[in-house]
Amino acid sequence: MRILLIEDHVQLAGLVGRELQQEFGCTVTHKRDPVEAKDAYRAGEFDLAIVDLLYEHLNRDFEARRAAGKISLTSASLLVTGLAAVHHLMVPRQDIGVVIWTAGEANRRLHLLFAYEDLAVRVFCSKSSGTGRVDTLMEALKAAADGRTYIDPVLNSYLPADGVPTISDTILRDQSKRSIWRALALGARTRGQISEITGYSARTVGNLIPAMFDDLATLDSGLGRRDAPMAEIVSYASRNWEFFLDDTLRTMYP
Amino acid sequence: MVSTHARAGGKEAQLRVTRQLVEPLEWGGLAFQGAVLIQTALADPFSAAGRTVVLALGVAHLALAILAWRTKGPVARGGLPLTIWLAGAFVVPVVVALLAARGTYASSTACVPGCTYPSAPLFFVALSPWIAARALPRPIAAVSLMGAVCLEWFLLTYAINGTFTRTTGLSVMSSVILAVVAYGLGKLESILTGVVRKTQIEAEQQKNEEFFDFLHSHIKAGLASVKLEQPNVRAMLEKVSELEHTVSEQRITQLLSMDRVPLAMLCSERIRAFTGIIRIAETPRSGARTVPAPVATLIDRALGDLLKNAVLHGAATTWVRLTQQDDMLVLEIADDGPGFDEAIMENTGTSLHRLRASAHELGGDLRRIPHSPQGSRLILTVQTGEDRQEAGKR
Repeated sequence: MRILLIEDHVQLAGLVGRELQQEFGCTVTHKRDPVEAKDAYRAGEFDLAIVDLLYEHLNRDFEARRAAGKISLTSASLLVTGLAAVHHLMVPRQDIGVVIWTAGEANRRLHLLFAYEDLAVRVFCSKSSGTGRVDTLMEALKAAADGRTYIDPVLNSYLPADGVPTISDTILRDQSKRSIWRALALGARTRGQISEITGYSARTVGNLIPAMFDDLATLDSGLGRRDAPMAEIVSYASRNWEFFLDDTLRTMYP
Repeated sequence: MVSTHARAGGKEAQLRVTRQLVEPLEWGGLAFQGAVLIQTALADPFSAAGRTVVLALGVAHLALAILAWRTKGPVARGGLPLTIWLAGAFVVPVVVALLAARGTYASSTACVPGCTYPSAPLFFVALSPWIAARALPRPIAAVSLMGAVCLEWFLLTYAINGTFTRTTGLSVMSSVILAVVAYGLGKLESILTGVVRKTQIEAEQQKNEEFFDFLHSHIKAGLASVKLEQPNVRAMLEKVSELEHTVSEQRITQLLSMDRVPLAMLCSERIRAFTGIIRIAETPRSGARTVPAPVATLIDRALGDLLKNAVLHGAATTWVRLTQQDDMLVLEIADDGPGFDEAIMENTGTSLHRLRASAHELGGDLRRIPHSPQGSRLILTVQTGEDRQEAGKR
């Protein structure tokens, strides 16, 4: 098996690559992030890909650009995450097997949901499996190669239950609302600031906020009724900024 | 370097908080100015035409207040709208003075007609550090603005009345005092916002530092104990597992300090602790679902205690299900262990008894399903409605 491993933790990637090579005879090519991997997956020389979701150095670069005011909704690129690699790998080649390999943290939960719902990823493997060996990862790789579903019990809870509304049917449904989510993720806090970033009038923004909260409450049924929908969506956007400012998300849902 | 960044971040945060405070209040400033003009038109002596003009100005301000409320105010808009609004603080008092009935301007020791009109812009300038700060250093800009507003009343009084009397002098001085008070209130509000934000930042930093210090010390101690066990690989791996468990516990503690806890992360973290120890044949899917902290705390305890019991009593496999039934969250944990007697649930010294008591407090229950074909099957229910969340917090 020819495997493309996209992982920013170089030490971990090296050890995993070595284990996969020695134990299972795989050929492993390591790339530090989806940007570096671009040429590799364009060449199409891989059967399988192991993709991490968030990359610390890319997050830091993006944060610095954001703090310097160099990010707008129309910037050439937003935050590049593992979704970019999954999208670029799976769209041209349906036959390539992709394994999402992540520790599973709060700031990755919407990425995991999106990968499952919109990118149809069906193989998820936790970085910290119980055995501490690569056998779980190998099991996931075999499932990906056979086109089977494999979901690590540690990551299963991040995926949606049957019949629950999807992200694209709720918070990503409408372009104007998506723009407002992104503006909030960029740091806008008032209708005026959102208006400056999105170009929508403050009145339009004000009218959309309650509907955005309803969408969010549909996605997160535990949210219930709230007296301050603006505060609630501001908090949600800032906690999940990595998702709302994801470059692939913007490509798929402008 | 770090402290410079922290200071810059704190200042930026303070500015953001002030902007959040100012922008929704702007309509109030315009409404205040409208009310002042209408009150002046009705109470002070004007010719009929003059009264109509001042009244119209007041109504126009009220209309602008509604516009600011529905869209954005002059401060949020910046540029020309802000310049026009600030210029109004000079122009409108002149208009009012020229329209006042002959010989009546500054005839009341209370203050000149419409004297509180510039109070709103002065208040917002004092409160909003970014206004005028770009053009001039802030103290100079603020003092210039204050000075210009006050000087204007002196000049108008002298130009209209041709002299200063004790009454006109007191009238202008009263107006000046009101203007200074308005500016002072804005300044005070600005300082208070800064103090509150600074306190908040410090409290957050302290909390984070404490959390990080404990985590750091746990990791350092854990790594030291791993090294001490060498070359015994088995013992080293045990110590690594202990360290992993500690980090996971710390993560859960932090997670439970949030108002709303992502259920997926809580379940994932708890289940992670038991992988490799017991086979978990079924795990729940929670997606984007969050629950209030009291509910999350109970679910965390239930997962931890019940999975631990399954391991301690020799079960090989366990099944965890989580469903929503109306406003109840239902957690079901089954295992293929030897099972247990119902009397254990009644024993006050057991974790099951304590868990059931906590479930009752949140409007739920912990039940054992008897005669389960598998070893044991426990069902925890917890109410997720708003009222119950509040009760749980108390």
